[in-house]
Amino acid sequence: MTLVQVVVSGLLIGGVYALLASGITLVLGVMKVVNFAQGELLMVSMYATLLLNDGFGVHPYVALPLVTVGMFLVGLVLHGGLLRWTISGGHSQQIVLTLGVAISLQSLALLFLGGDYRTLQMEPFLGGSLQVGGISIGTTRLAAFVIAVVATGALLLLLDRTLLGKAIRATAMDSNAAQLMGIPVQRVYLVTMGIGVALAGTAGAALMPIFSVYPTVGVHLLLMGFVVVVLGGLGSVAGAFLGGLIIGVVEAVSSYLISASWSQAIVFAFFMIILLVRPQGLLRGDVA
Amino acid sequence: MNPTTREAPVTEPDKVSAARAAGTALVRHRHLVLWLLSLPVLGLLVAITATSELFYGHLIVITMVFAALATAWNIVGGFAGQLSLGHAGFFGVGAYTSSILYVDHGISPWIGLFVGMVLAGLMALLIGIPTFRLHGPYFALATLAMGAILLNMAVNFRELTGGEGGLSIPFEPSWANMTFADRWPYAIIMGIFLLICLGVSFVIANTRLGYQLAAVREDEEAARALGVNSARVKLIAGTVSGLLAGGVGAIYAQYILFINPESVFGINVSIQIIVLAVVGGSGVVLGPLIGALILVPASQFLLRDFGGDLPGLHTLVYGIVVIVVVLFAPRGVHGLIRSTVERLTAHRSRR
Amino acid sequence: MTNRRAHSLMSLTLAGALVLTACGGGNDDSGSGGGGGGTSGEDLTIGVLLPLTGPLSPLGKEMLNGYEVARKTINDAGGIDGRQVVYEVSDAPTPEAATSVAGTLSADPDVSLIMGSYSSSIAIPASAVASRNRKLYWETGGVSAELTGRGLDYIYRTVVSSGMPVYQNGAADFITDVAATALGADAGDLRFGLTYTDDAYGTAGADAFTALAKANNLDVVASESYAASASDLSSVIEQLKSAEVDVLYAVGGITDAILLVRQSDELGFNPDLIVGNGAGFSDKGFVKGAGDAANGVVVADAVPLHISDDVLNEDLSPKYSEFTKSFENEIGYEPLTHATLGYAGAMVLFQEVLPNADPADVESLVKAAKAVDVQPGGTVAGFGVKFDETGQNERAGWYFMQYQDQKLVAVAPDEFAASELLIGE
Repeated sequence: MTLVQVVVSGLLIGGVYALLASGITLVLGVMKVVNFAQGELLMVSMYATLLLNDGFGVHPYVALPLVTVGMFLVGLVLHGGLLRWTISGGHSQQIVLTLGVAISLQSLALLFLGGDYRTLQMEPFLGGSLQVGGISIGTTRLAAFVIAVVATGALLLLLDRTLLGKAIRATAMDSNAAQLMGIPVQRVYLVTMGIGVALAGTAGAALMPIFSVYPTVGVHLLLMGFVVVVLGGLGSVAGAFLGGLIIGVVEAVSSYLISASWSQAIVFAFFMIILLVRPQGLLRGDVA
Repeated sequence: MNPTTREAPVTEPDKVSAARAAGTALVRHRHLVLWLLSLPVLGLLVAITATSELFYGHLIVITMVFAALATAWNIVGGFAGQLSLGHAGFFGVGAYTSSILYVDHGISPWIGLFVGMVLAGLMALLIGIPTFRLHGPYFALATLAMGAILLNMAVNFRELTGGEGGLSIPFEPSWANMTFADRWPYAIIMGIFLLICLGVSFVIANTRLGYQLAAVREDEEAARALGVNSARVKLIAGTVSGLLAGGVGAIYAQYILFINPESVFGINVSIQIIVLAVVGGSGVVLGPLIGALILVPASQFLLRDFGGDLPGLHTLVYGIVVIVVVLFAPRGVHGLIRSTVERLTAHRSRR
Repeated sequence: MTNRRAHSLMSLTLAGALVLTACGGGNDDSGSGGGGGGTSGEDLTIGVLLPLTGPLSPLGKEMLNGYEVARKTINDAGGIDGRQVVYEVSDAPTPEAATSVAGTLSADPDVSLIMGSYSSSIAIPASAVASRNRKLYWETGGVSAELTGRGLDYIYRTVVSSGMPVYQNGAADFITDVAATALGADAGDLRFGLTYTDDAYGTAGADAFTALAKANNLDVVASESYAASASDLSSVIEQLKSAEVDVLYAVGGITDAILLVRQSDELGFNPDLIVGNGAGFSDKGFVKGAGDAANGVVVADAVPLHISDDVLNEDLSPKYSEFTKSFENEIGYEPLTHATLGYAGAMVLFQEVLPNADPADVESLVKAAKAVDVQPGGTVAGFGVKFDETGQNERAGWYFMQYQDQKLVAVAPDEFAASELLIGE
């Protein structure tokens, strides 16, 4: 019974990892850019949710769509102002550029919001926890999981069913061919970055009721995000979701059975093994 | 010796051409000139370290540390184009090996330095065998994970490493202990090690191995078709790079006299290394050195002058400088200097 | 953007960066700050070395707040021998940066001594550099035993050391005596659980608890460590649940402290008593984050908070209430652990050391420090001050408080207790 409880807890936190990873994997699949600033963008979204709550009394789940849209705009600015100039450069340029953005965002947060650990104060959501057959489920964690499922579903629908989605997928497969077919590749990149960052917004708003925010909160979560991205297969949104759940469960079960302080090393070792045995990840796919 | 300079007759118009010939000779033999210059420059730096404020002494030593690290990284990250995000791992292994040998077993850090280098090189080899099969972002992320695993091990093997509490190295100054009250001996040791890193890097860049690495970087498939054993050359580059990074770690530990997992194995160290190399210009011998010469003193000055007043300002300026350089000098500061010089000379010859 | 324009922009930026660094290099006083006037010959400059950026910054800043209030207090009272105190504040986020700024401060003839530094990982390298350059190092925050255990000549520490008997005995007395009595059980019959972060503070605290458990024959049925950045502690809590823990001793930081209490509530883990060791549990964010789940939690800490002036010595000036009032006026909220530690440490320096020494002469400072004799109850942090030969304050204390109606109330030791230890809802 206890192990079931641990697995359920792992699945729930895995939803948050999945949400963070889907933004990274989308940008990586379409634009071939490893976005090291995604963790800091998540941090910015968490602060935005917190400040909306502190300043205007906006409930975090009401703030979620606002933060998501706001971060979409941030993504557009980030691409138009910075990333598009390095899109033809090498991986190292892009990685260092996003690192520069990450360092700057961290510093701005420290300068203007201070380094304190800040937690969102809210009434226990739906009583704080649910009991299902002897298993306790924290309601904020459950909400984050549901948000992750809905966001992933919406993203998959967008990619699968809309013209924009088809353009994104075509660009991911072969940007030169897409260009020749008359797809405005640069605009696709712009929108992709917007969606990628918007997903960080969703993740941040969903995480804020669960976790404290501070300027360096993104660093650890970003590493987990990368692990999930590779596990799921670079560029695969469905893979990122599956990978997020698996990593969440591996982390929880190894913490329970071995030791929580080793769980991170175990997750990374698991990651290395996957990389070496099945480098294409669980689900191969140029954005699907 | 260049014959054109000796023969030059002393007539007015020829003076110009003689000077130009001397100029070309300087360009042609610029490597030799640079190497000959490096020793007096090192001597000067040591003299500055010995005579000036502690701050400048520290500035010089720590710039050398990061210049050497970035130069070591460049062998695998620049020449071979394999973007390693886990170089803190080798740095940390070097630092912990020599410190543990010294603190727990009383073995001189000089021996620890070599043991640390060997272990770091060995580890680079062992990690390289599986990870060099990966390409592009996969390799970068795999090395990032490798670094994270090592950080975790340093935190959790507390009996060996002291855990997050860190290892403090006793202050018993002597050459045998590689511990000094002044900073100038560190400038000598670290300066020589930096020259070794640059020398190894120079030799690799200008020999068969360097060309093979460049071929692998540009197009691994094509290089293999031409008969380059890409796995082997990458492994050699990786091992040498790890070996040198380990050596820097051992000297760094003796300089700071305190290490903890975050300060040597931390993700920030790996990030710092790659930022320096890319900002300076990765793939060329002097690129990482240039990056370190600009960014390390800049960050030290920013930390000293703005750190206490407005926490976050110094890192913000640092981040913005990194962004600006990547945007406007995609091949790093070295590339910018080179293209500027080329444009100027082209301009002059046209006139 | 054309290539040429890009290049000119680039060179502009580089030139800008160079000018910036050159300015920094030329103008040595630009870093002196933290309010106060310039450095005229009359002022007394103290180097302040704290982590103000990076993960250590929240509590580093809190300590700086304490220093600032102490500085204002002493300056408003006319300064030290008529000299106004100014700080040269330096940011030291990493051990390496600590080495660097400690070197700068040590070499500055205007800086009479260095005060810092909240974290032991900063204090250890910084104090080594200061000692080598014969500068006094006044530590008010780092608790690692190693700090004063290295035979350095010029380090003095006002806060408790994890190697001091009081650090372990205090906890042992509290658990075997106060807690066991309140729980109506014999300590030997209780089932103890230990959780700790795998960082320096967590492991040091856990080691101390393990040692005291062994010495007192306590039954530790679960011992779990985790990374301070963990975002889910449910597996740790499940371990504690299945081990049927009665009393949980938790050492850690703020984010994990909140997670631990919140998730224990969610997962239905309700031990009879939770004793939290560390600033995470007394942080203002803890009650905010944990809400009602905070009630009943006992906090073990280096200062007692929310005490009345009566429990401290009569001749203490300014009094505890005056300190909290000026802190609230200056900073905007009530002082917590690190602010109190910083303020108390700085005030001892200002009132007991500097007036009795030549601030420019390190040996004279050492002599004055060795002569300090503040009785228990003589600082706002409760403890007295007398340094042993290693420079450790042998009168440093260790205190226990409990959240009652979301407010911290001192419960042990007896001389500070404002309430009984309450068990149950």
